[in-house]
Amino acid sequence: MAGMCRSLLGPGMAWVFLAAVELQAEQTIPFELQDGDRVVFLGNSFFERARHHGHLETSLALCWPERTITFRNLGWDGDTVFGHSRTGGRRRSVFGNPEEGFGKMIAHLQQLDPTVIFVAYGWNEAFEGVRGLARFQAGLTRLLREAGTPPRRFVLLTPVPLEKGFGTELPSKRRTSPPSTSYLADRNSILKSYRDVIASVAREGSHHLVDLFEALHKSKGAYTTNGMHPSARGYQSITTIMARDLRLPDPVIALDSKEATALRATILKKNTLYFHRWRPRNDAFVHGERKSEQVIAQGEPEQFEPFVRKLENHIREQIEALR
Amino acid sequence: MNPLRYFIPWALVGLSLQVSAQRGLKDIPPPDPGVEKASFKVAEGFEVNLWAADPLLAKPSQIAFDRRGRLWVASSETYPQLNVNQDPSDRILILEDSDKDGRADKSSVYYDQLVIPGGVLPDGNGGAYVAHGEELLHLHDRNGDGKADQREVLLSGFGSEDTHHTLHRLRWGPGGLLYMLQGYYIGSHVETLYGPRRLNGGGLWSYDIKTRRLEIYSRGLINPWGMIFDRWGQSFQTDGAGGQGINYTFPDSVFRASPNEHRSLNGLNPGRPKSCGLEVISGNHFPPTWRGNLLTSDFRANNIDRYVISTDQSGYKSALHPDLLSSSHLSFRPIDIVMGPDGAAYVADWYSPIIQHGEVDFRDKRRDRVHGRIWRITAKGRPLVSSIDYASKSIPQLMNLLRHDADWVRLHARQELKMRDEAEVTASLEAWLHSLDRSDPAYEHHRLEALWTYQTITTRRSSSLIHEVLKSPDPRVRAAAIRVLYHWGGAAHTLAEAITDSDPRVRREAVTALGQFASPEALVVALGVLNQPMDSYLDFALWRTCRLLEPYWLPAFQRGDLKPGDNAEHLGYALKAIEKPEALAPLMEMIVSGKADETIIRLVGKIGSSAELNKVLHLAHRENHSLTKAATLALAEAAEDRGISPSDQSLLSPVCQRLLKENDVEIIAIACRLAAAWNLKSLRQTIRTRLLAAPPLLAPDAANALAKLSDVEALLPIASQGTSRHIRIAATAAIVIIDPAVASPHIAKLLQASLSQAEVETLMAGILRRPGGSGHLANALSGKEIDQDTAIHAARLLEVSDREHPELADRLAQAGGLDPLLPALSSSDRNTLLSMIADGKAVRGRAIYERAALACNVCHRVDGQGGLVGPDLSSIGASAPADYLLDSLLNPSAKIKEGYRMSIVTLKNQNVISGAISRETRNALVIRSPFGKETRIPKMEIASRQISPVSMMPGGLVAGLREDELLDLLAYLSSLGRTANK
Repeated sequence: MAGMCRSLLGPGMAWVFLAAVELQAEQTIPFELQDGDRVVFLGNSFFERARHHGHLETSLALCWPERTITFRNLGWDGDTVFGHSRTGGRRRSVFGNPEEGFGKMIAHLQQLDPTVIFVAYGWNEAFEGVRGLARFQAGLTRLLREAGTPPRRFVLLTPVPLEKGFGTELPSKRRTSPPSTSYLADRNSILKSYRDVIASVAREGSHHLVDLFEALHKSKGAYTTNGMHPSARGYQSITTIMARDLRLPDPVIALDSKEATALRATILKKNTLYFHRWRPRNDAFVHGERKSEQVIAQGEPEQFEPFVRKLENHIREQIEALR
Repeated sequence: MNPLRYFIPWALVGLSLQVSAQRGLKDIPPPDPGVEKASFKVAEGFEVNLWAADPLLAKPSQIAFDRRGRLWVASSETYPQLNVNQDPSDRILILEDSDKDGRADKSSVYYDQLVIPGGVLPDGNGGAYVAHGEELLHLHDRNGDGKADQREVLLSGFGSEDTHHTLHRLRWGPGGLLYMLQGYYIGSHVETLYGPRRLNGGGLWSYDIKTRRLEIYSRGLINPWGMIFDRWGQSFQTDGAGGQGINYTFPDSVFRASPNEHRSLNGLNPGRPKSCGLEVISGNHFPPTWRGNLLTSDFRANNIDRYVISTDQSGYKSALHPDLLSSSHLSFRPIDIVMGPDGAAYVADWYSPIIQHGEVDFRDKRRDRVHGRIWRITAKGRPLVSSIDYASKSIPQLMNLLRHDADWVRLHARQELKMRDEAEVTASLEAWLHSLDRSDPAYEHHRLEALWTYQTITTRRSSSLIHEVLKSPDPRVRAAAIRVLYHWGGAAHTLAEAITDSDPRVRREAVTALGQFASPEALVVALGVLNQPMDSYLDFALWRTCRLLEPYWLPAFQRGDLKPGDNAEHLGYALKAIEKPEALAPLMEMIVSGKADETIIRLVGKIGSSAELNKVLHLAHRENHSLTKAATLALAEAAEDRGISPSDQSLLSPVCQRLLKENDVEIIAIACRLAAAWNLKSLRQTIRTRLLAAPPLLAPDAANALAKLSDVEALLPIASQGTSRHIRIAATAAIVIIDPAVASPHIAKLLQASLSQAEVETLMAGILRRPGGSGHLANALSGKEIDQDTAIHAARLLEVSDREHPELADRLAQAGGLDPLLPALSSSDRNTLLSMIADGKAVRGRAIYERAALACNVCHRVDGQGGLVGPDLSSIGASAPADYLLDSLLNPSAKIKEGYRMSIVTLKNQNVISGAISRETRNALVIRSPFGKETRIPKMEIASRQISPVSMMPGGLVAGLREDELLDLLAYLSSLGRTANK
């Protein structure tokens, strides 16, 4: 097989192929979370919506029950490696610009000072098509550089492929031109190129990779609620893919057990509280342009902290009880 | 009363910033619905009854009837902010009048785990769509027990920065799309199957449930809380935070306050107060003269307004008619209005003395969190509309309901048909269409209903149906059919015909639909609309389409592939619309061949290169040319805003010299700016000569030019011995640019005379802008005496300044003999005044309002007369109670109308300029001060922009009034907007 590829691709491409083999070798080093690790989930709706499900976090916590590991979900709908969705205004500007979004993202990361960051981007960027690939690669590289100072461990996730159904097969309007033969095939072909960029960045930086695109593209069962965002079942499948790609140890109890479900419920509560802590409603009055109109609102987000910590202790107790 | 009784010094204004009219709220009425009802004055021929009240419901944010006649209520007791560690508990309620006695008798909780839902819309299948902060939810009741047991997030990523701006007001459109609104403070980043959708600021979304396609339908408005489609599929919005009444909306339209949009459409009733909710009257129960009218609520003034709309070229006109209902009850807050299944109007009453959460603490105890009412307004003696059991109807029976005259019946019928078998409905639809009686006066409308039904039930397209409907002699039907093509896409050939339609609305719809294409040809077709008369809506639509299509036609044009027929004017329109440097070359040819107009010349000034500016320079060099002024202005703006001048440097001085000798004063003034921007020191002598005899229009520019050219020697003698006062003032103000210390003694001297507010501002604006500038003037005033009126003007200027100038304020008070340190009006004085409110006479008050010394109309407008810096007061009496008016007069910063806050612009040279943003162009900002002085600021000189919490209205304006005069003024302001049929 390897020989065939060499002869087909020519000497220049052979190097790429060898690198891919090397990647396989790298992936053979299992991913591991240490006692005291602080994990951040950073990305678009993939992570933002994961906070309502909690499967990824639960499964990681149950892999190493003796270790204390904390998790913060910083997913934001519609986000890109440029932090576009995080541009919300500060200091009397209402909206800010995309560059400010990136700055806010990095500042928040530095404040949390994680040891490990899971990064899930690419879905939204892929709408820029082939001509957006170079920019995406540069953006992702910059993100890993800035978020990786001081050095941190990264796990990169490739995007979820578009699932068939959910209306995309129906006649579509915008930008009326000769209708595309298959929206599904076109999208997934573009997403594949973005997946390749993520895989190559992971390879070059020796980061771990969870290749959701390849795994889910081949999967038979339904995995989304709407064609792009994983369903509860989808997130469950993703924990399996993650366990395989990262070569995780088996969780101490089954993920569908009663205890794991109870643990996940506490994790969801913690996630909700943390969401209100970092993205409070009425942000315009808390941090933004209407700040001068309210005083009482501004101290409140911080008051969530003890409740978040209390739940984290509870999570710890639930895990301890399993040992 | 002491004339300076109300002269509130700066420090006190600062302290009282947090105290607003709403905070001062003490007379909270008892929550008895009977008391509230007794306060209602209903229009002749109508009556109102309480349909539902707490505890059946509380705090409704939207109401919507389902096809079973049940009323769904989105309810939020949590608003405005979730408590720390509080579980979500806001509810979706279902109210029912099961015995049909005109009063709800049953309330059930459908769902109770929400945080501040902004809207609800039943899906007709036991479920509902819910606007929920960041998300659009679909709740479903799988087991049929009347409670939601499944919650799906359909869309997420809507902004949540301000809980009364978050996603709200869900409505069905005629073609089955779901529409929803968001307000100004919201930045949404929604991930969809078709790419991320990003909307900063207010806007109207459309969502296709079947294809899951989310699009931005229109942008702007500050906090739109009302949206409705009328019988002909045209849409209108109201703004809960902007005062222009009804806003006629079409796809891709843009309204005020949309970030990064420099062009927008206006509402149809400028000067009207904020309004919430919107419904169109239909059905047989309301009298015929009311049908097609719009109802919205002036929630601040506790009224329900009636507007009558009529077509006006390609858009609409709207006229306010006497209210349907008015009230004096402080807690009556009509937040939503819908037509009910019986043909009555149902009003959701938020019920709270506090309107929103801008000024009052989130946790203020006086926020009402438990009450809420639904009021039902019926026409006396007129039969109600019979209720319809949609679910039991056959498909043909449902088709017949499409002829019903109540809009909600036809909507429900279309929605019910969506649930039925698609193939069967499609077949029946065709049969129904052919069975219609062509002599029926409503026949044309029936055909349109068939098209909307088709659009609702399927994602397939039917060109035969479209062509059938487009044959209609009724332009309203043709316009609506073209709108369907906007949603369906394609049909270039049909649109090419529609662009030549005899009716402007049809043409405008076609222009908008063409904006959705991805081809250069679409532009050529759209530009064909210029062959017939244009109006403001058509112009906006075409301008927008040119810009939307730019990625497709501009490259084609640059390759030479785009041939816009033989009409250069058409192409010129498109090239001007996009304002791109790449589009300038062909426009330059128009300049050379003498075909250019003023817009083109100004565009070169905005975006042209040095080489392109040469053409404008040559134009400016020609004598007696109609475009000289435009050319001079373009050159000045290019130099000031972008630092770019024509490459032909040798010609700069001769051209400027020539322009300084023109006869037109405006041209000379611009030439002075040009000389300064081009740094032509050799022209100083010419400018000095011009300044010595300058009329008021020219003096400031001439003096500033000399200052910028560092000619302090020329300015000093003019500052002290200039022949006219305005020349001395201009020269003195200009010296500030060079050295405030040198200028200050001259300012102090000029302040000795009795100056107007405008003169004082011209003289002092520069020194107040400069960091530390006021200290120099304070020193110069030490031991001097100045005119008292002048001192009052100057003190007002300090009050609205973005910074404090305590030293200067003290010196001004001493020098002008002011007596500034009287206490502010005590609360007992205030209450005494309010108790005497009936003694005021509006007629006398009007004369006081118009006094030059008060200068009210410099900033405020009443019935089209006056300035625009402050809110339009035409209807202030209807929206603001007298105590609010009094507080606003005495302490303007206490509550500042949204959109009228002062902007503070800090320049790179540390100067600070504040005021209202009068207009903003690509390269420059024009700031209007509270007293009307306009300053143009090139954006490249700006370091930062902020919004001030301080009002632009000075606190001391009513200082000179006696008590009776103040009462008269209050009476006048209270009367504004209260007279019927204005």
